[in-house]
Amino acid sequence: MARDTLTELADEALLVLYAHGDPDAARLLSARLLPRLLGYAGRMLADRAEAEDVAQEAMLRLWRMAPDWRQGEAQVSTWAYRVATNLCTDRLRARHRRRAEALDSVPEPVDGAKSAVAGMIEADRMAALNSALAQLPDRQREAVVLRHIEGLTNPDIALIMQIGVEAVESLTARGKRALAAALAGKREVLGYQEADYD
Amino acid sequence: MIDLDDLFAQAAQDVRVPDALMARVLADAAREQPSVTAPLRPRQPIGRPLGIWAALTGLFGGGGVLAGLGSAAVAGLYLGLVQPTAFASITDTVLNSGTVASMELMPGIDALWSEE
Repeated sequence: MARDTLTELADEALLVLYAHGDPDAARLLSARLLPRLLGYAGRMLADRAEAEDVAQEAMLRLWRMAPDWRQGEAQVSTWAYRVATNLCTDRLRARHRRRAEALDSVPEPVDGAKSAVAGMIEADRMAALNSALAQLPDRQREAVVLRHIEGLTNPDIALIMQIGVEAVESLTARGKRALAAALAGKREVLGYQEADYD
Repeated sequence: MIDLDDLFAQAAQDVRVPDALMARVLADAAREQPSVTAPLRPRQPIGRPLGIWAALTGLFGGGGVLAGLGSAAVAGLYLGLVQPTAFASITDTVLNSGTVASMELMPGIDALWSEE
């Protein structure tokens, strides 16, 4: 199929074409989904290498599932976010376990979240945002990132997180409040002047 | 007040995919992609020519259709060669009368057409 025509197709159509052997469909689908999955996983894990592994694994599962894709049942992007969410959750749980074991043996009362992002804090807005995001509880961070950065709807987020829409609204509201509180002490880093203070 | 929406919008545009990662993903895609011809191949093993029966059944639309056609052909041949008694009068009429101007295959049916 002509490349110009392919670019106008929906994700689902590209996935079906991929399953039928179209050579360009994978490239276009990757160009659409991979940046979103990488950004999402990066903000969830605060670790670039782990985020790349998660994004690649989520895409791999998409390729393997393509021949069995049931059209009209779900959006491809929602499906991919859900896979990435599960992969991130597994890694975060393993990380928490390792941290708990390390705390038993190392007498250093560090805040895990702050410690994990300490190396990321630089004098720019994105580092400050990522640092604040990393301090949120995992579920709040998932909801806030999916809603406000990835731009998904609450029903889609509910599908991805496998919770109700009201729970999503509650998580995003609490997460956003916590984020604002965490960023309140970094106004200078964020480029706000004294007059802008709340 | 901190404008979170402004930060979120900036964050959404802040993702750059490394070329190496994209290459790995596309390599995965190429490795996992189903072959376009695989599901369409006939079940016959590759490289083995179709046998005459497979060709015939394929030509006529299946083994059942071919069996029906074969049965009809055998029955016709039997009727022609054996000539059962029930058909003898018809064949005698055709073969013994020289030229046939007209033949009444169902004598007496005219009564059914006439109105009383």
